[in-house]
Amino acid sequence: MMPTQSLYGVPVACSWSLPLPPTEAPAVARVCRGAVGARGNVLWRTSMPEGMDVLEHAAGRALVGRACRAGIAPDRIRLRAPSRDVAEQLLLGPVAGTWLDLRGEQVLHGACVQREEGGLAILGPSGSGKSTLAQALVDAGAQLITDELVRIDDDLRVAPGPGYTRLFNAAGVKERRLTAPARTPAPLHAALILSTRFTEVVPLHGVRAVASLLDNFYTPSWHPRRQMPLRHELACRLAQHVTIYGGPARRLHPEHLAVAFARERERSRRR
Amino acid sequence: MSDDTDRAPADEPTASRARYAPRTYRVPTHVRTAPVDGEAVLLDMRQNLYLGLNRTGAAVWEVLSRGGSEHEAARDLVRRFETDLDTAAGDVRELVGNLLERGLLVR
Repeated sequence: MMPTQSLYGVPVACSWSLPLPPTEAPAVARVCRGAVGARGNVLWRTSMPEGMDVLEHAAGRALVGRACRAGIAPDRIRLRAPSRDVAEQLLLGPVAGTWLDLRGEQVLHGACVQREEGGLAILGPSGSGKSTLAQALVDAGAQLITDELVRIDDDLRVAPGPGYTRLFNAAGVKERRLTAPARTPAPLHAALILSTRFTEVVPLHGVRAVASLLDNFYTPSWHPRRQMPLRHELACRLAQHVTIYGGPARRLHPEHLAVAFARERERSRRR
Repeated sequence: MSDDTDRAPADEPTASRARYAPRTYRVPTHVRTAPVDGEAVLLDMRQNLYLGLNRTGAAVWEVLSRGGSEHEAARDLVRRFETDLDTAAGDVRELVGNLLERGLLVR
């Protein structure tokens, strides 16, 4: 019998061990390796692990790249990749994102760490410095909750993902930095949205906060009609219940955050 | 809604009185709204578009979406924000025109 592991909070049975927390809950999908077809209409293109087309067909979706493929149905994920490492990278990133999206789950693109105050989600486009900042916060004592996909449940908690961040090394290749995987979801306390639009860390409120969040769902270039009201509802709930900040891309360090957050706490206290 | 609520009070300028139409609107089923920090985010599911309303826009939307008239919305703006009735009525009319044009409100 295949062991069950928690893939961003959703139990899956997988024939090989993944850097994910185990779970006793019954699996809702099975992950295996095997041949995958390439049919359907192109929905969008992923940026990792290579430029892969995401296709949609009647029974589910397929990711098709030069060397890798994945067949995705709500109850089954099938992978074809040249190595186990690539299969794992594929599964824990774009395949999981596409699969969760297919299941109607809300997934944001970013990382999340647990700090004393609660979970801090770091959102933004590829290359904005999410993983780098998350790793710096982990080095400063925070617990990594997830990197790449941020799945938020109905209670506004972030589900644990794999126990590593992926950072560019000197050769420009993404490398894993392993850390102890989280076992429990993190109640979200704040979200920081990294963008070149911001020159410093600023609190975002109302429509501005919601618009910034809506830009950072996992498939922002493709708005499935059934997902739009769910995204709208989640973004509005987050803006109402979680402190949202905007921050400059690729320039932030934990010390900058500490100063900005303390300033905002003081402002809130005065209000 | 009674006609009284849509009628301009006798002490209001004649120009304003002439503009007050007892007209109400409804929100079509393809539009969803959520209030956030006094503002509002609208989702138009027919056009796959999100739209934001600032505080005054959200206040107008709140009145119109529960069946209130333009005049009620203008009076609400006067009560909640520092503005006069003529300015408020003009702002409401402009916003309503915009929302009608985009199909976010219907008569």
